[in-house]
Amino acid sequence: MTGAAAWVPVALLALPVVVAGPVALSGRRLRPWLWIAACAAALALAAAQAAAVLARGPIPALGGLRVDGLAAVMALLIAFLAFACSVYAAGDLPGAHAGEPERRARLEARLPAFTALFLVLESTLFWTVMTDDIVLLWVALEATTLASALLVSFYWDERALEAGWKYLLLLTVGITAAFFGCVLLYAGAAPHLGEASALRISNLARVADALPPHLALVACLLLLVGFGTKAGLAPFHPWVADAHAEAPAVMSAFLSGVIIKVPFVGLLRVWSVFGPRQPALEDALLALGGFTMLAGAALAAAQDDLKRMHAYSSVSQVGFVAAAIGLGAPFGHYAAVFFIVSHALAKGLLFLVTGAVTHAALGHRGLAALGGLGRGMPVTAALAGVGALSLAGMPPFGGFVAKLQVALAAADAGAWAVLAAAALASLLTMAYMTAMVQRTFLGAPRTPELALAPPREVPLPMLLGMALLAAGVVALGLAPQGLDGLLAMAAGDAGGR
Amino acid sequence: MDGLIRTLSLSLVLTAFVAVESRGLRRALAAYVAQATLMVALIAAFAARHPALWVWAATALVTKLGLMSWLVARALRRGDGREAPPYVGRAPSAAIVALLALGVYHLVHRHAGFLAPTTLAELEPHRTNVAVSLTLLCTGAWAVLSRRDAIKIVLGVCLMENGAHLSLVSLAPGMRETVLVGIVTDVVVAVFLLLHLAGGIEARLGTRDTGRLRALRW
Repeated sequence: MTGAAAWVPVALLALPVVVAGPVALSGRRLRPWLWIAACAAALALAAAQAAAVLARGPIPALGGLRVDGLAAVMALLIAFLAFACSVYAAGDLPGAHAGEPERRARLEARLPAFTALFLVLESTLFWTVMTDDIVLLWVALEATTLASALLVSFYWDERALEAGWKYLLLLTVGITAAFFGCVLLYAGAAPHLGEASALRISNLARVADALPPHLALVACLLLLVGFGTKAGLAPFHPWVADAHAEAPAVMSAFLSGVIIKVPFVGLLRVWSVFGPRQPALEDALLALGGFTMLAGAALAAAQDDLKRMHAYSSVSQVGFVAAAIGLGAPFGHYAAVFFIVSHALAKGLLFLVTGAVTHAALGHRGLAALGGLGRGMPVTAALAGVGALSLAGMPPFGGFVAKLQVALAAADAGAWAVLAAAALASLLTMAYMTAMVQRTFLGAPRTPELALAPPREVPLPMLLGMALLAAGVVALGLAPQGLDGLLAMAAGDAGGR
Repeated sequence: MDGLIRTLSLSLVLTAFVAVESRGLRRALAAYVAQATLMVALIAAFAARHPALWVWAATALVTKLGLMSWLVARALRRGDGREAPPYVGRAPSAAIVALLALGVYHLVHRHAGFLAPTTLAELEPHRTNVAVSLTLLCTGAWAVLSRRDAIKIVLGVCLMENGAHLSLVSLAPGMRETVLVGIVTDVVVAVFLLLHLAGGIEARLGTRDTGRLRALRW
C-alpha cells in the first residue's frame, strides 16, 4: 500500500476533531457552513478511502488503524449520514422545541458546543470502525458514548436530563462487560502472539485455534452483553427510546443511523473468527436477534409518540442485523452489512422527517395530535413515504433488498424460526409504518391549533438533508449491486482478514 | 510480598463496603479515596514483579486518587452531604453487599481458571487479585442498582471501574501504556459527565434523587 493512502485514515480521523474548535468559535452565520464543509471534506476522504480499499485491499495505517472493506463501508456510511445531518441542521437547530425566546437564547448559546461535540463524535465513530486494536475498540466505543451524552441531553430540561443520565449510565455500566471480553481475548492471545501483536484484531484468526474454547466463549458472551447494550439489542435496550426521543432530530438520526450500528463491527469481526468454531455463539445471536426483532416491533406498534415509535423500530431492526450475523459468513454477514447500510439511511431519514414534523407542527409529535400535514408539507410527506416503505421492506427501496437478503440467508442456513420471526416483525413494521404515514400526513388535523394554522413546508436545508438520505434509500433499492464490491469485501473481511 | 498483596487486596473489599454502605456521602468519598490509595499501593507491589506496572501505579495515582476523587468532592460541595434514601434499607443492603462480596470472591477464586482462563490469572497472588477485582465490580454494580442518589451511583461506577482496572494487573500486565491511558481517560471523562448531568438534575429538580426522574417511561 502506498504511503499516501496510509495517511487517508489518519486524516479522516483527525479532520473532524481539528475542525471542531474553529467551528465552535465561529460566529452564528459562519458556523453552519463550516460544519457542512467539514462533513463534506470527511465524506470526500471516506469516499477516497473506500475507492483505495476497493482497488488495492486493506490499508494499514498509523496508530493501530487498519481499513478493510468493512471499515471502509462503515466510514463512508458515517460520513454520509453526518453530512446529511449537518445540512439538515442548518435549517433546524435549535428546533421547534426551543419555545419561548428566553429558552431559545439559552439553547442557541449551547449550539457551538453541540456542533463541536457532533464533530468529535463523528471522529470517535471513525476510530471505532477503523481501529485494529481489540482494547482500543472498547476505548473508542466508550468514547462514542461520552461524546454523544451531552448531545442527547442538549435541551437540558427534565426529560432530556433523564434521557442523558440513563443513556450515559446504562451504556457505561453495560459496556464494562465488553471491556472484560476484550481484555480476555488479548490475555488469551498474548502468550501465542506476543504482547503487541495480541492487541491486533486482524491477528485473532491466527490464534483462534490455540485459545481454550471456554475462554473464547466467555469473552464472546461478555462482548455480546457489552456491545449488545450499545446496539440496543433486547433485553439491553431500555435506554434506546428515551435517548432517541429527547435528543434533537439530527442526533436521533445519527444515533439510530450509525451509533447503534458500530458495535456490530466488533461483533462481526469476533463472530467471523469464533462463530464457526463455537456454534453456540451463532445460536446465541440468532436467538437474541429473533427476540429483539419481535420485541422491538411489538413495542413500536404500541407507541403514540413518533420518535419513540421510530426508536423501538430501530430496536427491532438491529435484531435483523444480529440474526444475520448469527447466520454466519459469507451470506449472513453480507446481509448484515447491507442491512446496516439500508437501515441507517431509512431510519436516519425518518428521524429527520420527525424533526421536520415537530418543527412545523408547533412541537407536536404524538400521532393522536397530528394529521393532514401532507397538504402543507407535500415534500416532507413524500420523503416520509420513501423511508416508511423502505423500512416496511417494500420494493423498489433498499429495505426490500436488505430484508430479502436476510430471509434468503436464513432459508439457506435452514434457520426457519428466524425466518418466521423476521416475517412477523416485517408485517408488524409494515402495519405501524402505514399507520404512521396515514395518521401524520393524511386525513384532517386532530388538534385545533394545527387546524387553525396548518403547518407549512420546512426550510430548504432541512429538505435537502432529508432528500440526500432518501436518494440513498432509492439508489440502494434500484442498484444494490453498486455497493457489491465493497460489501462483499466487508463480509469477507469481517474477521478472517 | 504475597501476604502484603493479599492484605491490600482484601482491604479494597472493605473500603468498597464502607463506600457503598455509608449514608454520609463525605464518608463514602473518604472510603473511595482510601480505596484508591490502597489500589496505587497494590499496583506498586505488583510492579516489583512486572516493572511495566510502575507506570500504571502512577496513572492510578493521578486519575483515581487525584482527578476522580477531586471531581466527586467538587460535586459534593454543591449540596447536601446526606445520601438520598436508597431503594434498599441499611440492614438488608449491608447484608446483601456482604453476601455478594463473599460469594463472588469465593466463586471467582475457586473457578478463576474458568472465568479468567489465562496462565497468569490462575497463579497466586494474581488469582486473589482477579477475585478481588470482580468482587469490586459486583459491589459497585450493587451500588448503581440499589441507590437513588446520583453521587452515590457515580461512586458505584467508580468502584466498578476500579475493579476493571485492577483486573488488568493480572490479566494484561504487559499491555501498552497508551492503551491504558485510553482506558483511564474514558473513565475520568465518564465520571465528569455523569457528575455534570447529576448537577443539571439537581439544579432542575432540586434534588440528586434519581428516583424522581419519572418523566420518561423505561
